[in-house]
Amino acid sequence: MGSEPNGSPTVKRTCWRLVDILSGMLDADERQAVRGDVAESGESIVRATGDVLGLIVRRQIGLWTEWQPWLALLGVACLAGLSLSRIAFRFNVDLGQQLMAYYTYGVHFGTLLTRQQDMAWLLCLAIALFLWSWTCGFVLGSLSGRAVWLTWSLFYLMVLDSALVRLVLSGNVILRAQPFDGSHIAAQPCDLFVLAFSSLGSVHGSAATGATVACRIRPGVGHHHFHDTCNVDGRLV
Amino acid sequence: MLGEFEYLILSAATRLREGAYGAAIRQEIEEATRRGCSIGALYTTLDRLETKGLIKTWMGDPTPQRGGRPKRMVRVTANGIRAASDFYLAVRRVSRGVLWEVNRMALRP
Repeated sequence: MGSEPNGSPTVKRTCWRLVDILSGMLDADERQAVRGDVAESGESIVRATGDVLGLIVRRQIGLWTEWQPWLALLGVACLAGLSLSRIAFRFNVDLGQQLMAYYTYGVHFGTLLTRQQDMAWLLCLAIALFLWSWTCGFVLGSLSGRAVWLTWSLFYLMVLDSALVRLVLSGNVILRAQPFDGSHIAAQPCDLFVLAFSSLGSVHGSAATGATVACRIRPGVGHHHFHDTCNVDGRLV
Repeated sequence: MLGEFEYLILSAATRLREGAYGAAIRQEIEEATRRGCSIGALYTTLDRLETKGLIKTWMGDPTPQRGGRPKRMVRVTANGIRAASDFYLAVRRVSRGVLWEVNRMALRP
């Protein structure tokens, strides 16, 4: 790629690697064209990084001029995420109680239900969680296009934390001043469940509609050949 | 009506003819305006022009000079030429009698 007068070869290699990674956020065709342009122009690493970052930011902002990512954010990440967080929270609590009682005392935790009924209840919650996670992920992926990384992250945070926030706000849980260790992210089996299935759904959703979204936003996507003849000599045809 | 940057791209692409692609258009604009031209601005404006039907773009064949990466080729359509021509005429009309136009005429050999 381009030249860079300062810095050791390792640093330069790392910086160019960073530019390559950044350009991975662009569509495949555009990524190749941009990398080629950067290589051909021989610009400095700073300018190359700025150029690639600038294009990524413009592309991401461009995505939000459509209504679909907003629907994904408000409808799925916020509203559906809120409903899913209730199921996830219920599943976490019930499963946690049963596991703790079983491993600590070797007994079934008393819930006024029989052991079989409790297992059926947990199974139903797990199925609801699976279906709801996958569906939300699929819809997020379909609607968000390349903005899915943001809508999906917000969706996941909403599912993980909205139940906790509700409990804190209602006064049922009091948070002590403890340093943040990140353990609340995907700490429960159910959270990993949601993480896995909603990601799978979003990948399927993106794959199903990714090309359509890209074409809608970038008309040049997919135009590998040009057969139309146009006058470039200044004469109007 | 075109924007200034859109006009620059159309002019550069028309001048470059068959050799019009991202990096070449960028260099042409930088030389003409003596200002930097970011890849982000260039590519998003190319998309806008293509949406308006003023240019056509397609991915060219990979070349070894670019590390085996293809170019995004650009061709100005008839509508693009018409729009650029209208813009140029409008700029000329609106510039009649203004200071810099008068000075330019006076400086002409």
